[in-house]
Amino acid sequence: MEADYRDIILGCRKERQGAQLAFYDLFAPALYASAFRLLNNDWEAEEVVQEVLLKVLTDTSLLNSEADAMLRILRRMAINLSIDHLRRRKVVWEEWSDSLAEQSVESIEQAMIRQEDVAQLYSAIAMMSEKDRGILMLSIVEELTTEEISQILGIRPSSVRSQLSRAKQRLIKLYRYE
Amino acid sequence: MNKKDNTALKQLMEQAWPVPPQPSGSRERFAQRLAQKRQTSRKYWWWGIGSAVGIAASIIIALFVGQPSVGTQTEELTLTEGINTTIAEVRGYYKAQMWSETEYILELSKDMKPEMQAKLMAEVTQLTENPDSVALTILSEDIDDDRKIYYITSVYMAHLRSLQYIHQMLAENKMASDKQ
Repeated sequence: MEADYRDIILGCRKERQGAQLAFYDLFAPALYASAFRLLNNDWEAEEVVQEVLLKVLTDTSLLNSEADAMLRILRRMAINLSIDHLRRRKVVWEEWSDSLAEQSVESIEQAMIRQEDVAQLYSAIAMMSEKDRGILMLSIVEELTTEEISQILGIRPSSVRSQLSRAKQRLIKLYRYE
Repeated sequence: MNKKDNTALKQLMEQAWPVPPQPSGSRERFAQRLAQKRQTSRKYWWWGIGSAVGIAASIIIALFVGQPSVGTQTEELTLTEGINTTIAEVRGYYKAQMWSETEYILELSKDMKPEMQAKLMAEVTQLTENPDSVALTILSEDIDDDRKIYYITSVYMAHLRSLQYIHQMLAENKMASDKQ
């Protein structure tokens, strides 16, 4: 598997189309998932995936010979680009002056697992604002740290923590009382 | 937040917010864009540099040799929808930079003879307006939107480079005359 990946990278460095498409096949699904969860739009998510992969394949200095490291880099690029797309939709993450205590994991988990109604959770997520959903996805699904989210959104870590906490509270509220 | 809790929550969220398959034809569109990018990046890199130097050189020659320049019709680029939003952003970005270059050129040329300065500024104005009419022509061509955006960006970039070249030449001349 690792040897296959090295062959793909070698082929991409030589701009061989077969290797470039194998590179696409390898990474596109994961990048598409990350972009879609943030954008909730399949065409925009496709655009993000293609832009990221085109950038890396036409600037071969960005290629990494470790598959895991490459995926991390590509995923970060896809997230940054998706956030840019959201900003074009006028979704803005601002600095928050008030600091909310972080919602404990037990409470959010308990609230969801107690009912474990996936359909209701879907409705709750769908009803959230793009801003709240975005920050939740970055934290819970993409497993980014507060500092990483702070870099991506260009706001202070304390603002990230507060907004994350508020987003979780809103999700629980929507989930319970919908 | 410990890892175990995060994982359970992550699974629940992924289950509740599933990702649909990629739109059909994604891979084919990607292969097409990749092939286009390879062709155009080679061709337009040289085209961009060539035209920037060419335009700037013709202005300098026209200015100092006194050759009359060919007037071009300036058209207002009206951009309203779809692809045009992206082009409006590209135009806005380059126009802003072109105007700063124009300001520098105006400042550096204020010691010139009035008629020479007028001629220079007429050329500079034309340089800032020309890309709009070229962009209109490209927009009307039967090529895909990505290509249009790429070509139009190259045109604005080439004209900006010409202005930067003029700015640089004037700045060097001024430094040389200040030393004397």
